[in-house]
Amino acid sequence: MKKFLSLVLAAIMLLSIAAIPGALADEYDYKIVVQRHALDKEQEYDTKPGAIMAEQRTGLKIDYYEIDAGAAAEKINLMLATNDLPDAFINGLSADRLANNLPLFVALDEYLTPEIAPNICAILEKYPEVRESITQTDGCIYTLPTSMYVSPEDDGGSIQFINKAWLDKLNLEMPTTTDEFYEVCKAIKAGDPNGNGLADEIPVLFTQNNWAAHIQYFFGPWGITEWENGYGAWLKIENGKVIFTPTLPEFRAALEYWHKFAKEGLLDVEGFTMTNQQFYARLKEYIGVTYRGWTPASNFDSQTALEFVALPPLQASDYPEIRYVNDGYWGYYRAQSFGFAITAACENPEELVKWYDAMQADKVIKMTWRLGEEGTLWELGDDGTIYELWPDSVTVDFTRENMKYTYGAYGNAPAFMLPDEVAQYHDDAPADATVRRQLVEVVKDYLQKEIFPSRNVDADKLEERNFIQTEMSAYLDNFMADAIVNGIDDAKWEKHLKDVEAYKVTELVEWWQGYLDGEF
Amino acid sequence: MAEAMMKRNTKIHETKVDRVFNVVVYVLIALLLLLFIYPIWFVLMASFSDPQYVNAGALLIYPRGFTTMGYKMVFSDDRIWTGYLNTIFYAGVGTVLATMVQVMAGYALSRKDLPGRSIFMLLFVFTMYFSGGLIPFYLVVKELNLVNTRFLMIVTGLASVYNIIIVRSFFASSMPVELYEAASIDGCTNQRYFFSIVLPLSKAIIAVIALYCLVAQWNSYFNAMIFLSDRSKYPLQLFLREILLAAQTYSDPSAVQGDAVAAAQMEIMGEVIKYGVIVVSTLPVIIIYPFLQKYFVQGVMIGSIKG
Repeated sequence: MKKFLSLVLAAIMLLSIAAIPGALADEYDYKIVVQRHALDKEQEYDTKPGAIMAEQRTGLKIDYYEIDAGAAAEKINLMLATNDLPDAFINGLSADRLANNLPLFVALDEYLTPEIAPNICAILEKYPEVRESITQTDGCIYTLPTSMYVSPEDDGGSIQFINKAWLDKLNLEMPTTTDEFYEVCKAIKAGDPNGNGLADEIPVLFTQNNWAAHIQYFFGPWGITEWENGYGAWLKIENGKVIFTPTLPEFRAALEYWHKFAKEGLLDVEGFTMTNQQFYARLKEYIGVTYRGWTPASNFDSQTALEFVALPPLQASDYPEIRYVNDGYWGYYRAQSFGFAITAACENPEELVKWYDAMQADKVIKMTWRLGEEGTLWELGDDGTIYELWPDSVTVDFTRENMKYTYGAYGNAPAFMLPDEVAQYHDDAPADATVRRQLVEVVKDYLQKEIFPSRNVDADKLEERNFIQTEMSAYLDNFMADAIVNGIDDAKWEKHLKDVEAYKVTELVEWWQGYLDGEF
Repeated sequence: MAEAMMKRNTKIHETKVDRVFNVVVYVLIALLLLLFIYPIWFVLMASFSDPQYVNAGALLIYPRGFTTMGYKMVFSDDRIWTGYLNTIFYAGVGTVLATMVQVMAGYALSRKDLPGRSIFMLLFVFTMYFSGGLIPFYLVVKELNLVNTRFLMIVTGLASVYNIIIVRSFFASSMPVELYEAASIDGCTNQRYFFSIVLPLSKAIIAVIALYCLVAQWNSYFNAMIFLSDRSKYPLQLFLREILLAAQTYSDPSAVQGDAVAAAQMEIMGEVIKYGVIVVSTLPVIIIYPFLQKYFVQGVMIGSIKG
């Protein structure tokens, strides 16, 4: 019994170690919830040069409460539900979270005056699109934007690459129409360009589980593409009119074309179910001549990546009057509209608005927040242009990506980069970095011409749309997969047109037309 | 003599059937063994293989593209060591305390002369089936000022009603009332009875409960994820979850946007260390288990309520 009691006492002593209280919060002025990125190798947020510069310039001591991306959903929802609020959030909020908890946030309109927030007011005046995207349905502004206004790299969307080395090996010309593309793929399948003696080539590779490699992007020659940003995925806008693409005759033509590919083994039909990792493994097996992605260097080693070039836009042989369209939109507004929000728990919102305004004061503090100290990952040119740098001190354990998120906060920084502040590259930047912009140039003229605005909508209206869209997407994914794998005939097409009506296509198109026209 | 011969014939006849039966049983067990062992073997193999082969489905019996890079990356990450220390602390202290609490509670509830026994039982069982949900739980913890403390990580696992019921059933069925009566006649108090007589006889149930508590503490991540904000207090599972989740954002365009290169790097990292991470987090429990197995096999049927 004595032994047992001594064990109990020992355990209780150990337990008491556990009850040591944490640091007191009184020494800080404000508590701000920030997002912690997985690649961040530093444990403390306030060692970031941006945070240090912020304190030097404003004198406010901020307690940065970090939340990992993985736990963000639960933790932030808990904070909002239990009213355990910080003074402000930097990123982490979304349209629903804000819309459902509006009383917990402070309307900032009264503080957006030239005396309190000169920089923000200047931005709002110069870029009315920003004001539109941060205004809630009750007409007030509750959030301020962060991240980038535009990103030329992202605008290109998903780009199709073709293995030029293989084309040269089999003496094939670069295809310009869909018929020529078909001939090229047939030649690839028969010609064994990877030289292993087996006829294992599958020319066209895709997967539905990688954001860039969907089969829908291959419908570009027929004027149909998916909008990578999700909403309005099966719609296109022509001269201000919203059109539902899966009922167009071109859509059927595209399905028949790709069914031909699937039937003859030119398309890897496992793409409908393959995971992203399996897709990468499939690419590396070196059996495909074309696929869609970000850059070849992100899928292959630098040597093999050189064999791939961007495929110049194809023309549909059966619809020569239709112009190829690539997913993406030049100059797309990419700011994080819900970047900075002040909660009702804050005692002095005006101070925080001033703090945020001070963060937008000039390029130096913005870039320090985003990428760390000047001279490591970025520098300012003599004319004020921002240049990104590639330091030599990268290692496998601490790559440039790690640096971005350890020294800075990149997209999670309280900095709003304007269109004229897009970073440029010096001539000696590594090819991997600059190749994306060159690839985007190839498809730049073929990006979508009209897209939907980004405006906040009432929760009920959103509900309406989401309900129809979820069912419709599920149906269309199945229909498309079935049509490509099993083929399509008149009977199936007629049934499809009827089914689409049953899934409320007219209401969907009306909703989007109303949204485009600004009716709500 | 004729009877003796007949008996001998019957014996051989049964032995053949027996033999067939034995063969069938062994074949079935071998198949089941394969079914259970192969996934573990696959994870072990995959942790030493190049992810390229793993994803292409080329792994079968032995690792391909042998590499220890996954393990190197896992162990070079400081977070893993912090996590290990924290988990050992929570699991060690948590298991000792939880076992004590649950065994004592189970014993008390098994004694028929405990006043209010049925009311206690009813309340305990009620909480096992119905709980308030996450938000009330969070509010209670906040009011007690236990948010972001190690104390909370240990305290939440202490009174598992399920385990208490198992202990209670064990004591009710294997501790005869006569034993207590005999001891008390000789002047034994309740405390002395518990510590000197009951406990030495219940090694099986203590081992079972200790194992349950250990495994539960070792695997727990949810409470840590919700309540802890100091990364220095995070248990191992939370860091592992962080590493793996970071790699799964690549199919989601909105997560990739703005930094596709970083997303790609995270994904590759995740692939390489995925299996290494699984091995690192389960190895300690697998190592401890054989030492407790002796008691565990006895104890598996303990929870079944008899009479």
